[in-house]
Amino acid sequence: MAFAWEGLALDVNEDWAPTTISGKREAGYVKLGDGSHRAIQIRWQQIRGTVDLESRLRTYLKKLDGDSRKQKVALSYELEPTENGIAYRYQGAFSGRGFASAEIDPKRVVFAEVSSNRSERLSNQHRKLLSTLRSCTSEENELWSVLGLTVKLPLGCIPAKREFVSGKTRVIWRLDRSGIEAQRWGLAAQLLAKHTLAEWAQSVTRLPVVSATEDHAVLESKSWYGARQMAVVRYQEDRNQLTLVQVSSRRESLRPNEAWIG
Amino acid sequence: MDWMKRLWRGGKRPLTNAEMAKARPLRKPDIEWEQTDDGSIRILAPITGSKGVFMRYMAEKMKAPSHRTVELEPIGALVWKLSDGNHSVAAIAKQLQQNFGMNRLESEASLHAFLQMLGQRELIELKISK
Repeated sequence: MAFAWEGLALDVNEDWAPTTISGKREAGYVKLGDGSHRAIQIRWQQIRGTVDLESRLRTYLKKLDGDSRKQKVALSYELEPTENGIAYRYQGAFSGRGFASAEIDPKRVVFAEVSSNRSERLSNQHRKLLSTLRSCTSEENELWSVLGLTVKLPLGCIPAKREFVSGKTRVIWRLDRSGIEAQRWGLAAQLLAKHTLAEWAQSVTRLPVVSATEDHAVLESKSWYGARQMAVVRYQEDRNQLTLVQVSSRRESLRPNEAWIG
Repeated sequence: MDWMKRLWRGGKRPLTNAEMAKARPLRKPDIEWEQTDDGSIRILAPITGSKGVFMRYMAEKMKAPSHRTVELEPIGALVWKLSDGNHSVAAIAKQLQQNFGMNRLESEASLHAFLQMLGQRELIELKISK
């Protein structure tokens, strides 16, 4: 399963879930936890002019050293130049290893690390967790994937609102003057035990059904002033979940389709 | 002011996530339950009621029911069946993930809330290993 946010994707198993998501396309931060004392942290920042990765890393490690010394443990660290940037590791009151690179996304510098809030020696295997970190922006669309909700959306979407509750993941994006909303509902088989997919989709979106099968539904309505609301719903039986993508727009070209649902 | 909060809670502190994962829920022994054909479970739990003499007298006089029925749908029923004191909360959460395709956060959050509800209704207790 991939976690994908703001153009960066990472393949991790589903034990890893986001605990912090902040910032935006230009600069942001994501922290994933697996329920233990370890975490994956990804920071990104837009490149302006030349980038001195080493000095940025040294500033970061100096700050960590200060934090570690508060717990009366000095921080030791190593930097190692690699093909794509600089790899680093540190150990003190807490430990981590990761890398800084300006190659993953040509417009941004990315810092990624696996860290532990204990003083332990993180192995290469831990660093391998980061080896799948990549850009997930193609020429036509961009992958977004969080807590089981996976969608491929047109370029330029800006997350406006997100809601992560047990059994339901919901994210709303803005794209110019249009709105795109995606929802992932867990326990689909239980939800559909007493209703058809079309009935369920209609009750969630409040839109009339255009076409529906057992695992797919399309809904659409148009207001008198030209605004259209369209939704595509898919029942993903293998993952026992329902994914819904809804678009509110006046743009005729912006129509959700099956390919949007990952 | 952690000690004040603890004092307020009668000396008990809330469980940490790690402690909660290791805890083993156990059904109260005096509770009868049966499984229905659709996979649900019907629980018949005694009403403990008020300890005051007057209230007990009034309850007897008014013929207040001595038991209450709680119905659990199949997901809750699985948790109930696994609450035998042998399965940890982490193991039950794993079972929910496998059986119902839930992700880790989803299963843990709903399981914790569900166990809290069962605990408040005095249907289960948590065995905590030191």
